[in-house]
Amino acid sequence: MKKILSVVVILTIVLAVLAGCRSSNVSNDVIKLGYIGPLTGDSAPWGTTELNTLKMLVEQTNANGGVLGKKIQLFSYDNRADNIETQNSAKKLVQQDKVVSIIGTNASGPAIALASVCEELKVPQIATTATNALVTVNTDGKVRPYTFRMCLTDPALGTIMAQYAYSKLNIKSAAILFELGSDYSVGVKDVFKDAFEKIGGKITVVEAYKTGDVDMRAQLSKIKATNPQAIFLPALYKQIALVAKQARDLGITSAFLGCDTWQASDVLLYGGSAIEGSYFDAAVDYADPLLKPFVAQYQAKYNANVLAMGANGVHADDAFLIWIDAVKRAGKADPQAIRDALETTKDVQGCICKISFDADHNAIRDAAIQTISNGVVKSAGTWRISQ
Amino acid sequence: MFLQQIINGLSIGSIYALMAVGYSLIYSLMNFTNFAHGVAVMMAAYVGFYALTLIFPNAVFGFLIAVVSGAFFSFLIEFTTYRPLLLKNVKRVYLIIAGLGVTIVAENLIIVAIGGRFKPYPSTLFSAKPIKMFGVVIGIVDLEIVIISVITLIAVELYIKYSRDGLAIRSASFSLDITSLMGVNVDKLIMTVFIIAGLLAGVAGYFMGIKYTAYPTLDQLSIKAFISAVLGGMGSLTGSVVGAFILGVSEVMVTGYISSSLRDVFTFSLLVIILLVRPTGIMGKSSEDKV
Repeated sequence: MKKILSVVVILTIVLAVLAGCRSSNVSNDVIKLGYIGPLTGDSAPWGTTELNTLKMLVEQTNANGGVLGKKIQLFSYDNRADNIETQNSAKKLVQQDKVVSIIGTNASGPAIALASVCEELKVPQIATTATNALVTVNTDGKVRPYTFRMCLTDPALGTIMAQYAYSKLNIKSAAILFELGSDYSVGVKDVFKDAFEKIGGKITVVEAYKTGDVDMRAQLSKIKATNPQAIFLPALYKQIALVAKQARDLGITSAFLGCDTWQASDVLLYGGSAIEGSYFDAAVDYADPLLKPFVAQYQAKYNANVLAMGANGVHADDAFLIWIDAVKRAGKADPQAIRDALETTKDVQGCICKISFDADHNAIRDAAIQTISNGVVKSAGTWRISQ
Repeated sequence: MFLQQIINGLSIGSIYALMAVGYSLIYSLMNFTNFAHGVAVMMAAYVGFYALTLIFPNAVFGFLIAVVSGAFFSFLIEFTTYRPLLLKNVKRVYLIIAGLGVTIVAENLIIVAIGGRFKPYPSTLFSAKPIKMFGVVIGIVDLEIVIISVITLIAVELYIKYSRDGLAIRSASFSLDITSLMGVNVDKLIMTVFIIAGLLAGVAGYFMGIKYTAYPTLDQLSIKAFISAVLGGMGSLTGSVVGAFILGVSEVMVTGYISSSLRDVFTFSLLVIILLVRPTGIMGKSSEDKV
């Protein structure tokens, strides 16, 4: 009995070693790419959209002969939007599957957790929709060498709106009404103010309301007295609708400016005529005609709308295109070489626009400017941040 | 701007007043604060919304349905939560805790059953252009709120002063036990007071729905009404109305002339100061009177 058992054990070990050899042999004629994102739980729709996009793109690339003469092999892990799970998945991807790069994740928390592993194991990572500044930059302000991101950050959107309003809309004076206690609102308010004043605009007054407040007429009366050309409102759909209506009731005719929180369809539904003539910016205009081929491809393959859950599919596509470009320029499937190539990415065609990376590894890309006209959202062109 | 801010303050104050009277009524009778009062307000706002969107888009119809529903929910809270506890003769503090519990249950039930998104009343019904005079803008809805609040509050005051039930309520506010010994059906009296408070909650809920939309945590605004009632004097109806207007105007003034972040610091400090100087509030009766 003992003999049989030891034979079985030895056989198992031999087989395992052989299996290990085989997989490492194969790695020579494929390039391995990893994906980490939420594939189960509440956040699953976003992760699934990204992974489906990558699968589709990998299939297409392989059908067209792959890259550097090799096929791409995609490995994916479910992080359930959890930080620890993300780090475990990253270690598996790098140490066991031997991927040369990782795409993902989408949420900022896990993306920061992933960044720490990628920095340690020296494998480049491209985050998709993680907007927190600390994804690509350490707490001490130094850029993380192996971490990149595709989306526009909240501060970038605030800056772009300030520049666009001043240069294109000829708005020289603006008031700000923001939400105390919302990190998002406070952060965007600061960058908008700095950017607007830097290019010569005048901020007439900065007013705030508290989370949960529903009556902002006291603040709006104060804003009205300063007579600004526009009011910058980095708020969620509910406050947008309430503020806009109360402002119009008080006889304020200034245009409203906002960022991507205005993209929610509820803003249009509840804001009604009060938000007519408002402008806001976002990373992606979902009605952009340039998106049509991508949307159609995805629809044909998965019978689903890739834009249903936002820009995740678009940013996964961007990440893949940027990565392929970097691999080509690196000339070899080596993490360090790919990282170096990623860092020098300049005007590479993404899903809808040309993309570069700035010194902090954030994507420099066109923001879609949108305006509300006759009760519908219309494109008002694009704007690229000018430093 | 000063006059405009006064108008803004009065408009906010009139909403507080409608709710504050509800707190005050129940307090004067039963000597405890009904923290579930906001629930009746919030539910009435939802009923008003559904009455207008699903049944019949008429502002008066919605108002009546919302007011009746406010009374119904107030009665329901009394019947299912407070009455069983009162029958067991528990301490007043348990009633307060039960009221807070009802609030949490109701908010979460709404989130589960309807969702956390806010429900705006149909704008076509309430889109009348605001009146402009002397450089001041007055919203039509605000005007309606002030007028209807005043009418409702006078009606309640008259009812309590001149009706038989009102007499019973006033005597019960001195001593519930003695009133009961005099042959008044105290259970029915408590129910009546909850229904009156509920009617006022319904009026407040409907107007808040128009102005601020219906959403699950709408009841949290009633905490300001509670402060108004304390400020004006718990147990005094006129006092709570005065307190509500003082609170509304001072909130707006602090936001307008000092800082919006200091608004609540200022109003709560005002409360503390008034309580230190006059523990019974501005117009409150000394609580010794009740013993």
